[in-house]
Amino acid sequence: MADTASQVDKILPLTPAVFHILLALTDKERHGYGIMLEVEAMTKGRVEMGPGTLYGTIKRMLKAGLIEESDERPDPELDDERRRYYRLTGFGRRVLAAEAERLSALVDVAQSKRVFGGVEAT
Amino acid sequence: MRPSQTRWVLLLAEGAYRALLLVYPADHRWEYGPLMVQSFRDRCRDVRRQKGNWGLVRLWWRVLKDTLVTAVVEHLDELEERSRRMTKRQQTLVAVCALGPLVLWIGLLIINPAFTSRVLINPLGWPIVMAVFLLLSLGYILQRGVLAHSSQTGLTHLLVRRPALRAAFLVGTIVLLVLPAVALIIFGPAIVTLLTMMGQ
Repeated sequence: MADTASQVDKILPLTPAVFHILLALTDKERHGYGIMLEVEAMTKGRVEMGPGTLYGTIKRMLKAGLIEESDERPDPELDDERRRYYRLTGFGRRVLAAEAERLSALVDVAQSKRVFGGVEAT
Repeated sequence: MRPSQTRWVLLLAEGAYRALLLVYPADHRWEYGPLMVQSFRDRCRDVRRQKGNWGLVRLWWRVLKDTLVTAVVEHLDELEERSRRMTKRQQTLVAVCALGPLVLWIGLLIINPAFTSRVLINPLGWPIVMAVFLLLSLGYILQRGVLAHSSQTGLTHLLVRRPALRAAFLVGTIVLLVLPAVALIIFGPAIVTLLTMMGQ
């Protein structure tokens, strides 16, 4: 377990693209375009991932063992069989949790320093 | 816009995107190209429906930036992956091939002002220009040859433990990828002139 914890620490902090993709895959497996749409919905349209960023990041996440390809298809009748679906691995889930905790701790610091609540005009 | 026109616009956008994918390394294109095209096609269809043709133009601009930036990343990634598999001797050879012509080129420019003026001002100084161009091309070809060989033999990871050599390799490779193209653009007129002279 200690070994896994050090592996998780080694991979942090995550890039925004990796963090967004992991978050998009938390509730269910998705194909590439599904991930793009989910990221856009999660961020209220502030983050729009291009195909180059998406699949370059997916390639590195597969290599790092954060996600894996899924053989199951949510609805084979309605779906294009050429699509590839991705899902989180156990390691990916642990990394996501660790990164969320890291960011949450940073937000706590920001709150303690009263960063929120608007910037005063000078 | 009629449905047939919309179909043509989408087909054109997809065709242009397929052509744009040529900037990626071949392995990456082979593995992810079809998936990227599929995502792009879905995106175009949705944007066209929601935001019209201007939406497509904005999408194309974003995708262009995304493609060019990520293509550089993928090429660096591929070079790093290949460099991991090289022996120390191969890495040294690649670094020399990559940096040698560049050092020679810069050295000639600094040492010999006449050479500089001939190359930069008078494009008809073709023997020197052609020699430099061939030298750069030779370096590039040698380097690609060593890279291709190393990817087949799959050997040790010494470069990873030698950051200076790794940095020299990466910088040299990028320079050599770019320089022949730049040289061709700059010296293109000289080459055309030479060919014309040879033809007469």
